[in-house]
Amino acid sequence: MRESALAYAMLAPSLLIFGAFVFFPFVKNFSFPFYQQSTASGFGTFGKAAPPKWVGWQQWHEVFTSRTFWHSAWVTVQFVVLTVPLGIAFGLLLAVLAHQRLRGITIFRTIFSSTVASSAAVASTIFFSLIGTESGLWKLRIHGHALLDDKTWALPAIALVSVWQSLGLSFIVMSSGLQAIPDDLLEAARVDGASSVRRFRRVTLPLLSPTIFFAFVVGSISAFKTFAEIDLLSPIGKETGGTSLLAYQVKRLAFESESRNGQAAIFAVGLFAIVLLLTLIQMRLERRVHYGR
Amino acid sequence: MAVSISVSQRPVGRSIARYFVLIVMAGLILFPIYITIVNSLMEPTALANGPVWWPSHPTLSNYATAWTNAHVGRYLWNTVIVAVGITALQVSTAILGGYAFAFLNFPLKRLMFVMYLATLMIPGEVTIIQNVQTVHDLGWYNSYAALIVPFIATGFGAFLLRQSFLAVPADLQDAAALDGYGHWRFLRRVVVPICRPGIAAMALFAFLGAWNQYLWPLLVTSDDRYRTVQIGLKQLRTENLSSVTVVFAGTVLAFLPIALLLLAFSKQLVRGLTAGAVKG
Amino acid sequence: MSAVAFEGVTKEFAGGVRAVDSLDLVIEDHEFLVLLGPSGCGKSTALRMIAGLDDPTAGVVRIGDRIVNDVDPKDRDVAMVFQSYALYPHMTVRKNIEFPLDARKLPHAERNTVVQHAAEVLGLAELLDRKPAQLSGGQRQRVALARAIVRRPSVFLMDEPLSNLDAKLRVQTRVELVALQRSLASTLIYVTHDQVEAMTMGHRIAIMRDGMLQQVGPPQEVYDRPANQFVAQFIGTPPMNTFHAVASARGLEVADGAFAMVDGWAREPQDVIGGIRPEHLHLESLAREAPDGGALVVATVSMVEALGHERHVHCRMQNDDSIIVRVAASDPYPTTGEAVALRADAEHVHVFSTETGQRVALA
Repeated sequence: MRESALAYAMLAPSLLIFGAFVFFPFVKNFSFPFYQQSTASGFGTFGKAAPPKWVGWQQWHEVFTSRTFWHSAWVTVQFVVLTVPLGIAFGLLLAVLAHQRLRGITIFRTIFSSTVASSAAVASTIFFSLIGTESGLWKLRIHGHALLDDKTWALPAIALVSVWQSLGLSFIVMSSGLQAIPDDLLEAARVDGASSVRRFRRVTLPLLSPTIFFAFVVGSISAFKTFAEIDLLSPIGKETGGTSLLAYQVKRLAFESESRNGQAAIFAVGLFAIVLLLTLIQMRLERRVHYGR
Repeated sequence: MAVSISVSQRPVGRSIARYFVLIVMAGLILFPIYITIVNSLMEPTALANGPVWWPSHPTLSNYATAWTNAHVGRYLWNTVIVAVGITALQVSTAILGGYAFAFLNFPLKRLMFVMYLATLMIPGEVTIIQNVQTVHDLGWYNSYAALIVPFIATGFGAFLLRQSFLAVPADLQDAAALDGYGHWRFLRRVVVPICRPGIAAMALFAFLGAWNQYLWPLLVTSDDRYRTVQIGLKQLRTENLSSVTVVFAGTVLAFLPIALLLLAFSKQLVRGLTAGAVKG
Repeated sequence: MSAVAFEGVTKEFAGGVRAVDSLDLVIEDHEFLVLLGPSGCGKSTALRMIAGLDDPTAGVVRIGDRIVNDVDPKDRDVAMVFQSYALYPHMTVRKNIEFPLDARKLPHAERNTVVQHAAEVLGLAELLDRKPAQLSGGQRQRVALARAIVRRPSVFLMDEPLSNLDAKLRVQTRVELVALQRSLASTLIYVTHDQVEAMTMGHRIAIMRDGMLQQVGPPQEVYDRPANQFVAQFIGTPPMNTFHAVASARGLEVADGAFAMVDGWAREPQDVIGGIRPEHLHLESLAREAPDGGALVVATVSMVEALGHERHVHCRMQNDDSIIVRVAASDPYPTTGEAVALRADAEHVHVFSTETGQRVALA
C-alpha cells in the first residue's frame, strides 16, 4: 500500500513530536504523584537528584486535604468568574458598537481589536508600570495597602488587566459572529415592527449564542491556565496564596527551590480535569446550541 | 418609541451620539497603550511627580538603553528566530497532516485523527514537568532547540488545514491524477496555492502564539542569549526598578512589531482567531 | 487510437453497493459512444474505471490490447472532461491548458505551439491570460476541452460536460463536440443522463440502470426496438406509453378494444405490457371502423397540452391506464371529457413481458 506509506510518512514528524512532548509527558505526569523527590532537587539540578521514592497515594491524600490546593482552586474559579463573563460582555458591546454603518468605522474596529497584539506579559508589564507597588507611576493604594498587594483587591485588579488584554480577541470573535447573522433576519424583524432593543434580544442574541458559547469555553480554558499575569503582577499574593492560581502553583511547586514534582503534578491533573470537562461540555452542547446547519 | 421618525429628523444628532460612544470606548482601550508610549519618550527625571500626559520634550534615549543595555534587541532577535522557526515548521507539519487526513486513505486513520485532536485537550501544564526534565536530559537547556522543537507539531493547525483542504473539489484531484501529477506535486502545485488564505491564517495564528509564549521560555532559558522578549520584560523590570521609562520603552518594543504585523494581516488574523467559532 | 473494453467488470463500493454489475461492453476505435442512464446507474463509475480513478472489484478493463486494471491513470493515455470542468482556480487559462503537458516535460517551444493551437481550435486565444473565475460557463467548458485535447490522448472521457450550460449553449456545443470528435478521430466515451444528447451525438448508445447494461446500439435502433420497458420509457419525450393489455390473435386487447399488431399473436392469449409511442397513435371518430380494418381502443380525453408545434392529448382508457397521443398542431383535436377511439400504427406496437419487462419477440 503506497498510499498508507505516504500517509504515515506525512504524519511521522508530528507523531514523533506528539509522542515525545505531549503523550509521553502526559502519561508520565500521572506517575509523579506516586513518588517523592528524596532530596531538594531544584530548578538547576534537574536530572541530578537522587532516585525518587515510591510513596503510593500519600501525596494525593496530602494535596486533596491541603488548604493550599482547595484555596488555589477556589481562587482560580474566582478569577475565571471575574474575567470570562466580563470579557465576553465587553467584547459583545464593542462588536455591537462597531457593527454600525458609519464613516470611519474601520478605524474603530482596528482600535477595538488592537489588544490582540498585546501578550499577557506586555499587558502585565504596562499595568505594573502604571499601578505597581514599588515602581508604578501611580502606586495605587487602597486601605493603605498597595492595590496589587491587597488581599481583597489584588485578584479583581489582575482580572481587569486580563480582561483588557483579551478584549481584542473577544471583540474579533463576537464581531465575526455578528457578521454571520443574515441581514434579512434582522430586516424581517424590523418589518415586523420590533424595536432595536427587542431585535437585539430576540434575534441577534439567540443567533449569536453559539459564538458566545464558544467564547465562553475557550475563554474559560485560557483563564484557568492563567500564569503570566500572576507571575508579573502579584509579587506578594502569588506566594502568600491570595492570587496563587493553579497554573502558578504547578510552576512554583515543580520548579522553585525545593522541588515537589509529585504535588505539582496533582495540581496539573486538576487543571487537566477542568479543561477536559469544559471541552466535553462544549462537544456535547455544540449540536444543541447551533441553529440549523 | 418613534424610532423611524427620529432617524429621518435628527440624523446628525444620532451620529454624533454614536461617535461619542465609539470614541469613549476607543479612548478607554487605548489609554494604557497611549500612556506607555508617551512616558517611554520622557527623561526618567520628568516622571518624578507621576506620569505625564503629553511628551513635552520627547527623547528616544530610553529606547537606546532598552535596546542595548537591557538587551531588548537581543530578546527581540531571539523571539523572531523562535517564532519564525515554530511558524515555518508548524505550517509544514500541519500541511502534511492536513493533506493526509483530507486526501489519503490509510489504516487507523480515525485513531490518528482522534490522537491529533486529543493533543488539543491536554493543557501544557500537565506535560510541563516532564518536558522540562526532557529538555535537561537532552542537554537543550538554554537553546533554541528547547524553545522551538516541542512546538513544531500542531493538532489544531492540522485540523484547520484539513478543513481548508477538504474544500478543494475532488474533481481537481482526479484531473491532476489523469494529468500525471502524484500526491506531492498535487499538494505543491494545486492544494497549497488554492488554500493559501487558510494556510496564511493558520501561520499567523501560530506566529502569534509562539511570539507570546511565557511560561515555557521562562522554564527552559536563563541566559540572555536565548531569552525571548516576553520573559525579557520580566528581566527588564527587575533590573531597571529605578527607571520605569526604560521599562515602558522595552514594552513598546515588544508590542510594536506584532502590532504592525497584525495591522498588515488583519484579515488573516480574524480568520485564524475565529476558526471554529462561526460555522459556515 | 484504441478500442476500450469492459470484460465482466464489477465495481462494489464499501457497504456492498454494486455500482457496476458484470459489465461487458466493447467500444470501438474512433467510436463516439454515449453511456446513458439515470443518476446512480453506474455510468460515471464505469467511466472512472476507464480513467483509472476507480478500480474494478472484478473483471478486466482493456484499452487497446492492454489490460489497464493496474495501470496508473496518467499512463492510460486517456483524457477526461469533468462535469465541474475541474479547472485549477489559481492558474490562468494558459497554465490550465498547459498543466498536463507540464507533467510530461514537453519542451517549451513545442508546448506553446500545442497550447496556442488548442486555444485557437476552441476560440480561447483571447482568453489565455484570464483566470477561470473571469470566464463564462461556456468558456470554462472550452478550457476543459482544450486541456483534454492538448494531450492528444487515444481515448477521451467526458462526464456530463454540458450539464452546467444553459439550454441554448448546450445545443450549440453538442454540434461542436460531434465535429470535434470527428476531426480528432479518437475514441470518445460520453456520459450523460440526457437522452437528447445521447440520440443526437453518439454513434451508439449504451443504456445502464442499477449498474447493469440494458441495451447497446445505434440511437435509432434503440429508439425503434427498445430491449425492455425501462429503455422504452427512458428514451423519447414524452416517453413511450405503456399499459396493461392481453396479447391475443386480435392484437393487444385493452378492455373491449384492441390495438392491431403486424404479425398478430400466434400463442395463447397472455397478460403483457403494451408499449406505443405517442406519435404512433391516432385519434379516430368513435363511429367509424379502423381504416385498415384493425381494431380500435376507446378512451376518454382527460387533458390537452398545447406545445405550439404539436398537441399532447392525455387519455384514460377503459382499464384506467393513461395514454398520450401526439397530434400535429394543424390537425383537429378533441376537448377534455370527450370520448375518442385510438388506433396504433401496427408496425410500431411493442410488447413487454409483465414479469421481466423484457421485449417479447412477436415473430
